[in-house]
Amino acid sequence: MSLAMDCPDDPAAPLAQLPADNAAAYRCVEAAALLAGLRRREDDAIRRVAATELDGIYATAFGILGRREDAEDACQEVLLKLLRAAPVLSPQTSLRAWLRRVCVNYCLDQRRRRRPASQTVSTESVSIEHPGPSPHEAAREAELRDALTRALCQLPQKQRAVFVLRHFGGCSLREIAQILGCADGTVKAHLSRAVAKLRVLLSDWRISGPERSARD
Amino acid sequence: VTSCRRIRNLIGPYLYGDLDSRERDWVEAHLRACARCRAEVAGAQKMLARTPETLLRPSAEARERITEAVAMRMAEEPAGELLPRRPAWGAPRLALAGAATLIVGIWIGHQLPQRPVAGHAGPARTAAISTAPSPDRVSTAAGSQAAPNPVVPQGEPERAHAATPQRRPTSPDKQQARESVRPRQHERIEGTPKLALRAPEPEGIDDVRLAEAIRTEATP
Repeated sequence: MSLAMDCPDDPAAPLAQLPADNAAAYRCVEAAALLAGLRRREDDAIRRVAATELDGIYATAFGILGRREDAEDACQEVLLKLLRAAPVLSPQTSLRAWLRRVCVNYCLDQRRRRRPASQTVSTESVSIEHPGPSPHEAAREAELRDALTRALCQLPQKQRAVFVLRHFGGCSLREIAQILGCADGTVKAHLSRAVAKLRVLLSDWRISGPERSARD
Repeated sequence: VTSCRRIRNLIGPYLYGDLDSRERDWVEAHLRACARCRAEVAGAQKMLARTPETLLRPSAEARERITEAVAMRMAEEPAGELLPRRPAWGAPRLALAGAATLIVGIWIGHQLPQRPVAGHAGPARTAAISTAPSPDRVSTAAGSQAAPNPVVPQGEPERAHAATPQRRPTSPDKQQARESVRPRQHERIEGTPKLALRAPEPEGIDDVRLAEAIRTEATP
């Protein structure tokens, strides 16, 4: 969901000022209504945001922090920050980019505060959150998730953030550049290096993961 | 090798389909010719295929927990707390910093050695200047009576020059003659009015006195 549309700042602007395109006008009115609901702290408004944006926020936080509990805390803080900032947000603001930026900043700040010894992935993150069709599939998925979060923790912060935002957060390169405040070329280089390192780091998992299970 | 290095900086966006047509054609042309980069791309492609985008998504329970916690914390916080927080003690802190800076500045000012500022004389210097007669008055006094003891104090000529701007003499004789008629600080040339050691008054007061004197003379 995005509030970024070609629409006036004032939600109560006359319809004549709305864009000619009907779809854009509809999204503009919808974004203004959502923002008005957030300003009034309506429960429905925050649930609508959670329904569309929570997956991306959670995946971004999980990828950066590496722990499920930390990701849940980060989601709470980011949504509360949205409610606090709603009075000063404009309907033209890209809600997705704003939420991702706040999430990335919060998570990187949390990692800086965290002690180095506790930066390892907790075993609780291996817990099964998406039970597959069979316990065997669910266990493999949990193992993969654990291996991925461990590999992500070995990446530099910028590379990890870029990869998580692109692969799990659903952001474009331009959005990532805006979120992290760097050039498009830098984002491309970070993404390429992250992919190359993850390929090496997860090559061990290929042996100890499904392949081993298949051999067994 | 340089080409491989530049291509590998584009492999990530290439796998996600984020390159424009020119960059994509360039990468694909290189991959057709370079087996190592081709193997790199193939390995990365397999890795990404094994890590689905849904891998890190929250469970339905986690989603509900987060939403409920946000709603609860939102209800607990007063309306004012939801606005962007600004420190209420920002202004006092600024005033305290300003006062501290002022105190430190005053202390440093007291620690520094006091020197007369150019163009502004201190009280003692003002007294010295106020006792010094004007050049024409000195020449009149010198014509009637020579200075009894024309001793030049050490270190004073520069200050005397600064107080009474004169042209620097071109010959030592002229300098000696001028020094002989120049009054010292502790001397008072006879015939000159005895001036009190006081700071010069502002010009406005002299103007007022002048106006009063004119008014007094005008009135019979």
